[in-house]
Amino acid sequence: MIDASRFDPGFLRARREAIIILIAWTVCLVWTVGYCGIAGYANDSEAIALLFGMPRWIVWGILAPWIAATLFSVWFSLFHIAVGSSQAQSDG
Amino acid sequence: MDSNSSLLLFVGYTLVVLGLAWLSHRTLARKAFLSEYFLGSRGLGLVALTLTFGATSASAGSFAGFPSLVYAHGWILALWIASYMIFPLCGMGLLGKRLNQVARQTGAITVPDVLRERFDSPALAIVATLLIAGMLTVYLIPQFTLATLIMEQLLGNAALFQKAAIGLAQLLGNAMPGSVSAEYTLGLLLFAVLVVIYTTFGGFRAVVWTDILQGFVMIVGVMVMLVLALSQVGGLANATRSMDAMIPPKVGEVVFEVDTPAPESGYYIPADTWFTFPGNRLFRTNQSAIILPGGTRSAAVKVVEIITPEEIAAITARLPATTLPPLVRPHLQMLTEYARGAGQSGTYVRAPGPSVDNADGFLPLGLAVSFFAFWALSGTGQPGNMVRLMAFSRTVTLKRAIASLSVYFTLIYFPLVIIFCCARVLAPGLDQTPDRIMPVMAYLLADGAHVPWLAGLLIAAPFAAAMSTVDSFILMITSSIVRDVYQRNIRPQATEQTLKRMSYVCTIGIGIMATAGALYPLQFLQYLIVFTGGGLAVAFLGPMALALYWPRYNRTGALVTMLGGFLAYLSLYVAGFILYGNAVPVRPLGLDPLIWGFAASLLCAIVGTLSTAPPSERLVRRFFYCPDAD
Repeated sequence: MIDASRFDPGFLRARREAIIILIAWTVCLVWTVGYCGIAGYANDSEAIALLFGMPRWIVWGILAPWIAATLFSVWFSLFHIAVGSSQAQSDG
Repeated sequence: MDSNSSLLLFVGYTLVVLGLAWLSHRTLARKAFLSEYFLGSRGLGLVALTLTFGATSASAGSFAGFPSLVYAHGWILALWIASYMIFPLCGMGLLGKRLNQVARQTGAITVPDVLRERFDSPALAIVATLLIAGMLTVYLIPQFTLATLIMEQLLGNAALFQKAAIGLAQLLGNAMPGSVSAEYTLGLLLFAVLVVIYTTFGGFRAVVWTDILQGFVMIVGVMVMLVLALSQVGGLANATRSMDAMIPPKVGEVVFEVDTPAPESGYYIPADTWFTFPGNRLFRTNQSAIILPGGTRSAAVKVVEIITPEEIAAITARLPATTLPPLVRPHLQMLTEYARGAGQSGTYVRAPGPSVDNADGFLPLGLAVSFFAFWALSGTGQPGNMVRLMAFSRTVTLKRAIASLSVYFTLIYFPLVIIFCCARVLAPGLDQTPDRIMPVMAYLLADGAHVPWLAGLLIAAPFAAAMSTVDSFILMITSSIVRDVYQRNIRPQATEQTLKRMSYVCTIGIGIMATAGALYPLQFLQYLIVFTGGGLAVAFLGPMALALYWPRYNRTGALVTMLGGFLAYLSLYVAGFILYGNAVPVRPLGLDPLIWGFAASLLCAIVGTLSTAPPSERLVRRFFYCPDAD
């Protein structure tokens, strides 16, 4: 019988972090493919709208989430991923 | 480009790489062999972890295949590659901390080692070893081929290289493979000898040190190309507007003819020759053509017809009056329109992008979802990346490496899309041989900037990418054979000296096998890379992630996860081969086999685990309970 009350807090913390990372991946997927699916796949015949020299749908559908994902990755890795107690061996 | 400059650059680069291998070999002599040779004594610091992970992930495909796709299909490639925005966080953060902890705790130095310890199952470790060794060996062959093609482009113009190739052809005589040129064979041998020497004698540490060097070469190459491309195209907005006006070309073949037999010198029409046809039609050859002495016709060669009126006007305005040798006239054989985008402007700046053979376009929406999963999750599941996560020194190193790699990949991949969108405007008419666009752009940008030697540095970037992937995989296959098969199952008491000799022999042997395979280049290189990469991810991501995070997960669950996911993935490729006769897989609901493979592995994991007994109390305590628990 597995006793959840005896789990190492370091393991639980690492699992929480992994779940957050999966959620972040899902948000990026929904934002990127969702926005591009609406704005990039539209079959309009008008001249393409540009922003910063790129098609607007590229900026809002890919560049913007890319910058957001990079900033989140930097923040999450530097300030959220914990050096748990079980890591003593590797962090010593 | 100044051919001597590229040769000097290559020699200098080679000397640095060999110097790093020698330094690493000296370190190796002072430490415990296996842990040092295969894992660098788990001592990776921030720069090493960031760049070895980044350089190993960015294979030759990133710098040869990817640019050619951007060139051929336009801005849609930004969506195709978009999941690199989150790849560093997924690839390192999802498994990194736990995997490193478990590997240290158990003394594991390979991926099968970790699985064996976690499930107390030698059988599972052997299945994992067979999958890794088999798939990576297959993966190595196209990587060797791509690296050799890059080397040919780097050194092909150097007189010394050409002389050496002729000498090699004379030396080998009839033993020379008929399917490849002498230059290709020489390039392959040079690449193989260099990689095998530094990998064999330097081990993991040499691989990591060269990865650091290669990682810097890649980022510098991309940044320089970005600045030059934007300045020469007149700004990004100008490039995008030009692309918006573009109509996909027609592609086909042309034969060159003369009325009277060719003279003794024959006629030579170089690749990339422009010529016009009555009716203001403009063409560009994509291959060289020769009319042999005494002959009147060349063989059929690939040709592209430019359709966009603005492009035709701009190019013909700067063409000389005659571009073909006197008396030579083109005879068009057949021309094909694009299946998606023919006669339409705007396809290069909108989804799903133009396609020669797919009426649904390059990236239908279902495939866009698949590729978002493919890059981030497939990269996370690569055993080559997992090994690097077992080798860092401290968790704080991992944290900083994720942050650094996130910035590094942002500076590599999005700029590559911009550079090769500019390439459509700067170097039109290469649509039948887009694989050449990287070296073509390197020469064009360097010449345009009046710095011809720079082309050597720019072409060194993809060469570095190929090298850094190949060396890591050779070492992984060696570790699978020496550690997981020989030491663990055949001779547990083998001395360090025996293991050392065996590691050297295996590394050299694998290098020879991959070289022999690359002498007979296979069709479908890019498909082979995608297939093996995806297969490894499907086989290993589920078992490893669940092994680290699900205490109830047991050995039966792990075995069926690994095999179930892999077989589901494989069966869609086999079905595609049977139905379509080529390497295109069946994609139910428009989703890639990778997605179905992951879904099957997850289902197998749940059913296989919950229908069998839980793991022993000893294993759960060892891997999941507090160290001070009863």
